[in-house]
Amino acid sequence: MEQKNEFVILTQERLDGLVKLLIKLFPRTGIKIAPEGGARETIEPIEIDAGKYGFFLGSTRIGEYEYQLINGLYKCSLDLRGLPEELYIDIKNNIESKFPEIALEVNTK
Amino acid sequence: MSDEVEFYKAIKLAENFLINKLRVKIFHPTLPGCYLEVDNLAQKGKTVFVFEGKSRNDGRAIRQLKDRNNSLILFNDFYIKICLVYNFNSIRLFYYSFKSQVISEFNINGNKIFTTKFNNLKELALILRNL
Repeated sequence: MEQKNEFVILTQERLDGLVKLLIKLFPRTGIKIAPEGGARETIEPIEIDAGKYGFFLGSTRIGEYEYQLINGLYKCSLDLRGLPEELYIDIKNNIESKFPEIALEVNTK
Repeated sequence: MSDEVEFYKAIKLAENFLINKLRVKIFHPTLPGCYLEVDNLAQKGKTVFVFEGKSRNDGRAIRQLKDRNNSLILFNDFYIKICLVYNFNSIRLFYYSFKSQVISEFNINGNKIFTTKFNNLKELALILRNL
């Protein structure tokens, strides 16, 4: 199953909320989350705000989450290609209930 | 005015840094969702400079600098991709104090390489220009 989602988040607060949710959610499912870089300027105007996380099930890389501030919007990409379908649906439901602005794809192949 | 803003001015006065960033948060090398704040981040040629305001003791200062160094090494490609820094092949770590008017360079093993005194912002800029 290939599950790559691209979406936009409007504010830094919502963006941080999604990261916090993933960090809270993933260990429960056995997925390990690893930081793979990120930076944020804390002075105004913000020029850089970007981050990347890798997701691992055991030693297998099953996906990644990446965001970057581009022209005032957070462009996000959530890739959960290696996740079993049931687990993916569970994560999708959790994210969508707390972040109604995000609609994750369900591509069954 | 805070020390890091004063230091930012000194880097600007030095006039030979490609990048001069103030209070940049970079990812903690191992903890998801955690940031480390670099007081001043600068680049000259292929060398990145990490400057931190003086901590209470040298041990804490060295630990802070090591974490920042590890993050820059581990996530090197990502930091270049998001234009935080340009391509680099070395990192130099410094601690400064405006109260005692000193700037010290440490290596990654925690050994002090040098300490220099300065009397004002212009002298500090001159030191930075010659790094």
